[in-house]
Amino acid sequence: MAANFWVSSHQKQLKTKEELERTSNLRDKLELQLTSEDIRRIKMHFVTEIQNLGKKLFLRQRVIASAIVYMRRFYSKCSFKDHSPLLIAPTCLYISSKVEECSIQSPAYKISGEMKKLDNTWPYTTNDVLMCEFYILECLQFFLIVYHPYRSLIDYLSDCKLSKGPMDMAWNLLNDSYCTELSLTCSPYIIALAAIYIASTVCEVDLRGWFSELNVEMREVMAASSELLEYYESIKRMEKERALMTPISALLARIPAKSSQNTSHPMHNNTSYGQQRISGRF
Amino acid sequence: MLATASPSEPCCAIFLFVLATHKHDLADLRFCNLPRHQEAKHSEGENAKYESMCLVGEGTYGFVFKAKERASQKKVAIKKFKATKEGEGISLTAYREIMLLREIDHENIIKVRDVAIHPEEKTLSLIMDYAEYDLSEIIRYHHHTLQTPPTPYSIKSCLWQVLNAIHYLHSNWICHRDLKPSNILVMAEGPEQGLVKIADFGLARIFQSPLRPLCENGVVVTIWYRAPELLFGSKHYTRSVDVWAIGCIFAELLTTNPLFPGKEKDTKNPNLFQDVQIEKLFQVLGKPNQHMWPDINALPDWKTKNPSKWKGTLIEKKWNQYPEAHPDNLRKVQNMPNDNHAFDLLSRMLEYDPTKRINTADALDHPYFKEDPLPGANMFRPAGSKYAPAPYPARQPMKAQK
Repeated sequence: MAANFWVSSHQKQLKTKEELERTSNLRDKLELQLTSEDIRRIKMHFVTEIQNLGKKLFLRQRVIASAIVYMRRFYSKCSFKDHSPLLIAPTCLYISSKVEECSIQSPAYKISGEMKKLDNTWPYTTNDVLMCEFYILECLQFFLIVYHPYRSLIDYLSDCKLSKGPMDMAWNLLNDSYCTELSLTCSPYIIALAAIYIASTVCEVDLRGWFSELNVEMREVMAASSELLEYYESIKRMEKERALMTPISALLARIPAKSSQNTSHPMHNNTSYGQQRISGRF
Repeated sequence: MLATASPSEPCCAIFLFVLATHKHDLADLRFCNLPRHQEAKHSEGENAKYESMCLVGEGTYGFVFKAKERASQKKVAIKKFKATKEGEGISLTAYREIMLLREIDHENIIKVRDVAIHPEEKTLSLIMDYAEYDLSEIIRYHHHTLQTPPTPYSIKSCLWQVLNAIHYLHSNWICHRDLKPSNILVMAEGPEQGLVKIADFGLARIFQSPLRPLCENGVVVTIWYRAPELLFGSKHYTRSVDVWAIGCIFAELLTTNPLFPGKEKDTKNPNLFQDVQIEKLFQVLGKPNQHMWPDINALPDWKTKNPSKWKGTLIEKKWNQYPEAHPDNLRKVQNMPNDNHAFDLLSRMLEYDPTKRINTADALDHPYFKEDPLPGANMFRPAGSKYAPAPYPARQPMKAQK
């Protein structure tokens, strides 16, 4: 429900890390020979795309964050091969701008226009975005209300009284959490606590007493923290091994772009999509 | 014939809808089958999952059809949203309604059983439980045919269930914003007979932390049920606008007449000053003053704040004729019963000052609901009495429009 995370569809859809790894992008691993690491990099690439697009359209952070969650939920059931992220990512932003009632005039038109400006080879049209809207909504089973950790973070920060430095760091960590799959596996309040935990540890502020009085499962906070730290590790690693790695453009080239089969009438092409739906049971 | 998908080949099916009168409206639907996944063969006519019976409602949002699920023979209501302008995709009304109804689970709120998408027309339909009655029809039947109000038991049971649903919404930070008798449905038969179901969430909003102010959706709440603070231009939507609407509906149940039957000026211009509607409030309740409503001077369209808006209006001319606001003014309403507890609850719901208006929790706790007759889940008859058909004629099909 709107105010109660514990009975929300968001809470019911949370998966364990292992479940998520098992069901996500199955076809891509088999048929496009993408590794889990490749898939993670592709998703990160499109998270950045959504952020850039959102900034161009002056959308609020929450709208961008919801779009990222929609995209991640979508690919926890469907594959890049069947549904190019080039279309799915901007359409997720289109959907979240409607859900949060940002009154952009003719958003689909604006979004496809901005996409063309960002990438003049972008192979889709406004009409493709409008068709894709149905696609994504159906895959998300019309569960559109997303809980973000921002509110929890504000509440916790006002309670634990961090100074400005670690506080800003916690905010940055929280924003970076969208580069990970934490929003699909963790309750938002755990993500907020993980951000505070890392920030306080790095800045050497002793919050152990505060955490122990919270009455939360510290194991979950630790697990979320280590996933967040893993993300920074992987960034560092990528920086170092850049020369050795397949460039992201080469990875993206492996994903079939617009094909007449799955974009002209995506709703009537029920085979590829139907195959993926089996995992969509909550 | 329906075929269930074999587990190895799950498939989204395309269903074909066949309608006697609305072939063009519901043809070529695709059902999303929430939450089960079923498959039906896509072929002409006989394999359709639902069989449409007739059009039963129409509004700015679109159409409502009565239909039957072939497999279970269960009646359903299919709410088909109108397509938006070219290039706008699925309407915001449809978004609001579906995203809230997907989260809500309450016995007094209508449930979405399935969603059908119409990609070609760029719109969708919700398949919901079918409720034979709505309060506006029930009240009309009492007014014109029976010429007596519903029984005290029926009124109390209905009001309690409405409050119960709205209390659930309010405690989840959802404001319905469009409560009126035609949005309050009542089940006619089966185990849910006499159960009230709130419908039409096309204007409902979560108000916990909206990114855009709630007032930017234009003026909401059908004018007869619109709270005074909204009529005086308030930009702050609170839960109390729903309570005011419930108060108006309560009075309508008691007397079978609408309490404030004003006339909306130009529905296309939502910012107009609705002095005709305000005049109805003043006639019945008296004119409010700063003493009983301290914030009134801060409202954008109140007399002292915006005298130019009042200039030359009916309410300015008749200002001296209205009594000062007092709860007892309400007693003079035609057919208003003398029941003290019912009257007390009503006058607390129709409190001018939204901060003093009763909230849903306190309303549910009011002595009115604790004295005989106690409210029940079947508003037609108390628990323990023998099952009988509902005492109202079935919904009449609407004439199909081009």
